[in-house]
Amino acid sequence: MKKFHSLLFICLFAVLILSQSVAADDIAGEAASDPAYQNHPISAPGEIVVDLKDNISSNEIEKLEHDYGIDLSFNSIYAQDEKVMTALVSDYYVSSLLAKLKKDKRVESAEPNYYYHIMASKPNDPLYKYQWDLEKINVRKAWDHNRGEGVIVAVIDTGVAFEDSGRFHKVEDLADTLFVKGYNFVDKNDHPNDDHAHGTHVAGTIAQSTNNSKGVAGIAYRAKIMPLKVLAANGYGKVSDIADAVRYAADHGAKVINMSLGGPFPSFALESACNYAHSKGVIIVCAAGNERSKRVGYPAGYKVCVAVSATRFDDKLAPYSNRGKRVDIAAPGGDMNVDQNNDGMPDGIMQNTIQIKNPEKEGYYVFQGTSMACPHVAGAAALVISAGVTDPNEVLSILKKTARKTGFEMEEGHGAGVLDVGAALDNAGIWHGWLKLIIAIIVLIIVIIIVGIADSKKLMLSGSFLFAWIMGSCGLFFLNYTKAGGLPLVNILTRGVPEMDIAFLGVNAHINPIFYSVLIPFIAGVACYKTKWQKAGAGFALGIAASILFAMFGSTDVKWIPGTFLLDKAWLLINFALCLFLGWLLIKLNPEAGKSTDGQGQNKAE
Amino acid sequence: MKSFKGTVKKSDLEGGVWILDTGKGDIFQLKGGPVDLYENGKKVTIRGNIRKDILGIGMIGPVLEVHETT
Repeated sequence: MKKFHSLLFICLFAVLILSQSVAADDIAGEAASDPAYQNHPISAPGEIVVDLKDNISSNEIEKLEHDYGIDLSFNSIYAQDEKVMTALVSDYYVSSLLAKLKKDKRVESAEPNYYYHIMASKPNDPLYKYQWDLEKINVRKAWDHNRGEGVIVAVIDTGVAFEDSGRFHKVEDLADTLFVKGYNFVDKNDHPNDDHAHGTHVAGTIAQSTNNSKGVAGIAYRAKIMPLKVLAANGYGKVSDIADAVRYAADHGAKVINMSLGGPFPSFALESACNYAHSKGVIIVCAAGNERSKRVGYPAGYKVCVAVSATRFDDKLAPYSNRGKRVDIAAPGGDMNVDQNNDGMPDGIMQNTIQIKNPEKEGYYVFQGTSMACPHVAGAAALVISAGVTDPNEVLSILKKTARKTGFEMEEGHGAGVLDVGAALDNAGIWHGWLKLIIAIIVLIIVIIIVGIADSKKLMLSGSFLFAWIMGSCGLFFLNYTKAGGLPLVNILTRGVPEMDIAFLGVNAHINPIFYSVLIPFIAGVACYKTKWQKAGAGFALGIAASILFAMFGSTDVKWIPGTFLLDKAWLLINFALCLFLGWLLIKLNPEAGKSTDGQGQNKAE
Repeated sequence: MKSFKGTVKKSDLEGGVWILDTGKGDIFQLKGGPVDLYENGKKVTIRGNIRKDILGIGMIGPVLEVHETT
C-alpha cells in the first residue's frame, strides 16, 4: 500500500514537473527564436566580476590572484580607478569562490558577470526610433515579462488589413502577427478587411510584428488580433453592429476589446453588450473622444468601460482630447502640430496601415487622436493578462495604480496618470500574489478555528504543509521581487497551482474547471495519505481552496460552464467547499495530529 | 430634418475627418451628401438629420447625415 502511495505521488509530481518543463521550453523556445532575445544569456558562463578596494596596490592584486588561483583583468580602461576586474573560472567553482571573495577584506563586492537584462536593447524595427509613444509607456521593461502570449484582443473598428483577398492585402508589418477568426458586421461576411486605414493602424499599435527588422513595433506583439469590422470605409457604423461585435468578441475568447470609436449619445443596446462582455471577464478599452469636452463620449462613458484620454510627448493632455473625472487613464495619442522630441516628424503615432480608403497601397503613417491612445492601454491590458491577472477590474486597477503621475490627474483629464506598462508588469504578479495570500491566510484561520488550535498547530507549522499551502494558493509570487522575475520558469512558479492553467493551456483556457476543482488536491491527498507527506496534502488542499475562493470574487468566466443561474460560481463554491473538507479531513486523519497536547489526535487518527 | 449653416473643414484627427463648423461652438461630423461638398473651407447650408444610432472614428461631434446642400 505504501509503495502504491509513493508511486502515485511520484507520478503526480512528475506530471506537474514535466508539464512545467514543457511550458517553460515552449516559452524559452519562442524566446530563442526572437531576435531580441538571442545572444543575451542571463549571466556569462564561468565569468565573475570583482570590485576591489579602490586603494589596493598591484602587489596586493597579484597576491589575491595567487590566494584564489584566479587571473584577474580590468574590465576596461575605465575600470582601473574603481578597480573593477573580471576573471574566468570553472562553472563549478563560481559559487564557492564568490562566497570566499565576498568575505575577503580586499574585496568590495563579487558577483557573477550578469548581462544587463534580457531585453535591454531596442527592437530592431528600423522605424522604432519614431515611436516615442512606446518609450513613453516604458514598453521594453514590460517585454522583460511577456509579450502578450495567448491573449486575444478584439479590434472593433474599420477592419484590419490581415489577409490577401481580392483588392485587399495583408500589410507587410503584420506578417508575423497572429490572428484569430473575426467577422465583417458591415458586409455580413468572414472577411473583416480594412477599407479605411484606421482599424489597421489601431491593430498595429497593439500587435504590430516586432523585432522582424521591418517597420515599427507593437505593444503586445505575441497576442492574437480578432478583427471585427463594424465601421464602413467612411468611418461610420451602426450601434447595433457594434453591440453585436462586442458580444461576438466575448463569446469567442477575446480577453480584451479595443473600441477606438464613439459618439456623444449613449445607447442601451451597446451598454448592455458591454455589461455582458465585462461579466464574461473581458476588459473593454475605449477612446475618450476628440471633442475637447469635459465629458467623455460613449462607449467610453459606460461604467464597465475603460476611458482613455490622449497625451502628447510632453505628457500634457492633447488639445483635442476629451477630459473630466470619468477618464480612467491617459496614454500617448499624439499631437501632429508639434515636434517636441525633435525627431523631424510630427509627434503623432506611427504604425503600418493601408492608404486612406485605398486597401491596395500601404505605408507607415502618423495618426493622432484618442483612437491612437486607446490601443496603448488595450495592448498593456493584454500584457497584464498574459502575466496571469485575468479579472478585468483587477487589470484596470493595476494599470491605474502604476500609471505615471503628472500632477494634474483629475482636473486635466489624465485619470490615474499616464500609462506605464513596464511598472504595471512589474507590479502585476506581486499585487495578484499578495491578494491571494491574504485570502489564503483567511481560509487558514477559519480552518484553524474549526479544527482547533491544538490539532492544527503542529501540522501547520511544518515546512511541507506551508510550502504546499503556498504552492496551492499564491505560488512563489515573491520571486517577482527578485532579478529572476520574468524568467519563464519563474513565471510558472509564481502562480498558485490552479492558475498554472494559464501556463499549460493558455490564458483563454483560464479558469479551467479541472484546475479549479477538487480533482488535483484529491489525487495528491490519496497519494500522500498515511505517509509523511500527508501534512503537505492538507496544506495543498487548503491552498487550492483559497485559490478557488479568490476566483469566485473575480468576474472571470469559468470555461465550459455557462454563467446562467450562476452555475459557474456554483462550480467554484462547491469545489471550494470540497477542497476545504479534504484539507480538514487530511488534518484530522493525520497520525501526528494532537501529539503535542494530550494524544487525542492520535486516538482519532487510529 | 433641420438646417445647419457653417464651414466644411477637414480635421487632421484620426487620419482625417470631415466636419461642419457652425462658428458658434458646434461641430458636426459629416456623413453622406454630394462629393463636391467635401471641400476645405466651403461655406454651406445643409439640410439633414443628426444620427444618434451611428458611431464613428472621429468622435469630434454628433454625426450629421446630409440630405441636401445649398
